[in-house]
Amino acid sequence: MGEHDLNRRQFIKTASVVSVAAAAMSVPFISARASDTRFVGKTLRLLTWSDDTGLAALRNIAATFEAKTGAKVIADRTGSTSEMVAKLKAGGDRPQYDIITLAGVGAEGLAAAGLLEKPDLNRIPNLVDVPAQYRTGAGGHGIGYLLWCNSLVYSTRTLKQAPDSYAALWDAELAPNIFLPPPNWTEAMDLIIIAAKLAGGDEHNIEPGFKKLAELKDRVMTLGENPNQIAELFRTGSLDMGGLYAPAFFPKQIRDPAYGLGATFGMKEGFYTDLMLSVMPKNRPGDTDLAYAFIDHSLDPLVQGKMAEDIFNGPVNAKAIISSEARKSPYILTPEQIADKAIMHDNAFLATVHDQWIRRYTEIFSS
Amino acid sequence: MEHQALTHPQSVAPMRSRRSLSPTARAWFFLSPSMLFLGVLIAASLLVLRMSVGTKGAEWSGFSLASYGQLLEPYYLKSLLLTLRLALISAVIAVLLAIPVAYTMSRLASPLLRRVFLAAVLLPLLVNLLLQSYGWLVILGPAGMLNQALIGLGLIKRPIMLLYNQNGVLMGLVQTAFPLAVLPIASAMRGVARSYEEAAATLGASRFQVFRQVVLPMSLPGIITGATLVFAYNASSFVVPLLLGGRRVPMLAVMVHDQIAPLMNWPAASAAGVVLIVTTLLIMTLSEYFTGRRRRMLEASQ
Amino acid sequence: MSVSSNKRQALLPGETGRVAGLLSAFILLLAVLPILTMIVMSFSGAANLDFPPSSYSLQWYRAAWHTFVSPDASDVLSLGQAMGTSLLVACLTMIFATLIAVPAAYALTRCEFRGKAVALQLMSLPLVFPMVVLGLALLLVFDSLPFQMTTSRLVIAHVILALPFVVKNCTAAMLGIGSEVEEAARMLGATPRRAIVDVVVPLMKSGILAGMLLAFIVSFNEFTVTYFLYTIDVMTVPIWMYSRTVSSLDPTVFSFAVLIVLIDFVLIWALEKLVGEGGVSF
Repeated sequence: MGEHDLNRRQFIKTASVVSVAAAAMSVPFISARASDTRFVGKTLRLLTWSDDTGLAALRNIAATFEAKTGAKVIADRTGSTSEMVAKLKAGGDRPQYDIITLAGVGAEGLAAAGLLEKPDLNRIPNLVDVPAQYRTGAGGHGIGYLLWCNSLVYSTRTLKQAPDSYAALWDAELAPNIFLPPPNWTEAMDLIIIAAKLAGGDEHNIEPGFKKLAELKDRVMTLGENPNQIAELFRTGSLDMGGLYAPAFFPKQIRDPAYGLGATFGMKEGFYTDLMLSVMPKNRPGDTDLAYAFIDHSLDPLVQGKMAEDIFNGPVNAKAIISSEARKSPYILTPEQIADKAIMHDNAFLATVHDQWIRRYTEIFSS
Repeated sequence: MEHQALTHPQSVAPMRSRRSLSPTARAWFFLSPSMLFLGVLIAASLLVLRMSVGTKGAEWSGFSLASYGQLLEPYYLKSLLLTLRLALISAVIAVLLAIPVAYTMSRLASPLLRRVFLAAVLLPLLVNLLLQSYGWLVILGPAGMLNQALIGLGLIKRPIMLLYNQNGVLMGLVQTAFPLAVLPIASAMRGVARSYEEAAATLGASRFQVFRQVVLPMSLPGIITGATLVFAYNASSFVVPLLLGGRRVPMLAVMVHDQIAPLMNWPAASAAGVVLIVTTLLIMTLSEYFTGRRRRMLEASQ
Repeated sequence: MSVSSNKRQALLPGETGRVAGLLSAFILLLAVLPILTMIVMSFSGAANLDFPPSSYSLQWYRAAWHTFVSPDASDVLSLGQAMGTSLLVACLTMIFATLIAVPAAYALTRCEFRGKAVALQLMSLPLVFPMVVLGLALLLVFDSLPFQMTTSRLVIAHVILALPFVVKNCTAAMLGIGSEVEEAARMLGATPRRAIVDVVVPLMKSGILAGMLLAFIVSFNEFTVTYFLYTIDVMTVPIWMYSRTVSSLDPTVFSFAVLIVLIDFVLIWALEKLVGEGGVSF
């Protein structure tokens, strides 16, 4: 909790204990089949994202949970954090879901509206392997479940090697056509801070950042609201670089050479992450033990490793098991890399400037 | 259940005493079932109105006009002007394009062609815009068919940007709201009695003259209705600027959306919404006034 | 009838008619171009959006059929269920919207009364409400009620959204009849009620049916307001499509979209057939 009250970004330097042994272990993915019969026949209602992350969560978390416990997971995959939060807030004291996975900023909004129950951390055994700063968010109302990691996205056709600094975005020779995140995304907030730092300011001296961003205006093709359109623009050679944007949006396209799409976390300034949370609404329709069991299962080292490999997001569990094969991929983050280079999003501070920054950003890039 | 009781007004007792009912009471009696549904809408409107004078976090208890004050800041004023301008231009373009289409539709004899035409008019409004936007990307994108053709013909060197700016948004606005322009105009043109056209033709007017001097002026009420509908629909457009504007065309509804989420400032969203609703209602009232006058003039001249 | 249609045949072909015809065909072609592109892409043999596709196949239709018959265990609802909900909501919307619109149209055409301007404005209110605000506000209204509603709140919202279109068509149909018919019926001894039910309403039939179909079409395709009002168990087709397309795209979606375009096309076809030369009113 303490860390979250700080009004500044946290550079995570805590060297996490990484179990190489754990990585080497070859445990079958679904180890126990219905070993626990308490939950047979019970139903859990889950609201998750509509994108590939949500799909991967169903595959790697929900499906294995069903296999392990015999419970049924009904998932609504229509969420896109902001609308989802607005809807839940309006829905108030009649939640339809037992568990919701969403971005930190959304969880803060729901917590502020008094709609969330504070989970009892003692009922989630797997939390012991999660570094303290990733355990909870939204004032203890959410349990960390993955790190949404933002990269620089680039065309492997125009750029011979991955950019190693955010300054590359400002290099018109290197990348004539770029895209940036839309103003309402937290990625845009991070980009503003990056620009400020590159221009000698920081998040509390943000003005230089806006000036620096304004230099990009003529080269910005779009503020990419839709990842598929972005991928198409790369495939057709219309875009050269862009970001911040999570490779989690393009798991299929990055693997398909026809798109010429690359993403890198290797910037010397570090990469920005946002802690994604599982939250439990008050007055849930379902069983509380089942909800805790599901959250605990989502933190299982195997599950965490699978999620990281599947959709290029960072695991929060420091013992997450990433296969040696996957470790070679530049997109799949290991707990070590996260401990080393991840810069976490400070939602409490951003909440104080969000409105103004969205306006400035919108104004700068209005066509 | 109560709806059903009300939708069979014939069978209930008050009918017998209808003769004693004033015309106003009688009319509102017939309107009451729809008012029941519209009541939900009115409740929603009042809710929006209440929220717009609330404060963030205390939407129902706070009172402040700050959200309206905020709308006077250049950021919102510019957005409001942009919204009204794009809605107006799209209405003008849509109507200009709709006139020949509506004329043809109102005079088509072949049922087959009429059906295909109607489908072509309605479908762009109905089909998921997200999916249509992929179509636009393929056609108008920087590496789309049009740009490739133009480059192939040697007309341009660099691809021209047709999407992700105001042009792209304008095009999308016209395309999706097109049926709202075509259908009222077609109705009006159908209403222009053929005998007028024939009379004019017998008097030696060319077909184009007949169209310009008889059909067009007589369908003016339909044209104004169409333009108003397109304007009202597009003034609150949200998906089009989002998908075809690349987030770079800040129309007011997009900002309303940002205020609803992620900013959670519902009073600000409501105030902007109220301004949008009032502006469009005002323009619709004006148009209703003019078309009403025009219609009466036409009726008088008949 | 036949005389006038012969005259029209003589009237339309001509320079102006031909030019207008060609021009409007071209304009409409542009308007449906994105949809045509989408249809072509649904037959693509490739996995990306290359256009024109390098090869053609029915693979995406096969995949779509597969999703339809054996829904993914990981998905909340199958398309089949969503289709069921959509059809149910659209039918109920159609029935209620028509039942309330016919008397309203009668009042608006046959009566001069105080508050008519207000009534007309109220009828057009659903058209000018920004959809996002409307969705949020309706959700707040429904959630303030002491009881829970699922399908019914979708129906109520859709009826409100469809009302302007249905009323407009019924009004147009009623104007076309003229009050003399009703008066004649009354002079022949019919009670005012019978004059309406037995004479006016049957004459309005095609206008009413057109309004019904429009209500169905509006409801079947509505997205924004429904997004706020759907629940995990009651989901309509556009919501289902959205959850499939918003950020993960595969060409199966185009096959589904083609199916929906086809359904809409049939509905529009039927609509045109009903109203015939009278045309749809807006």
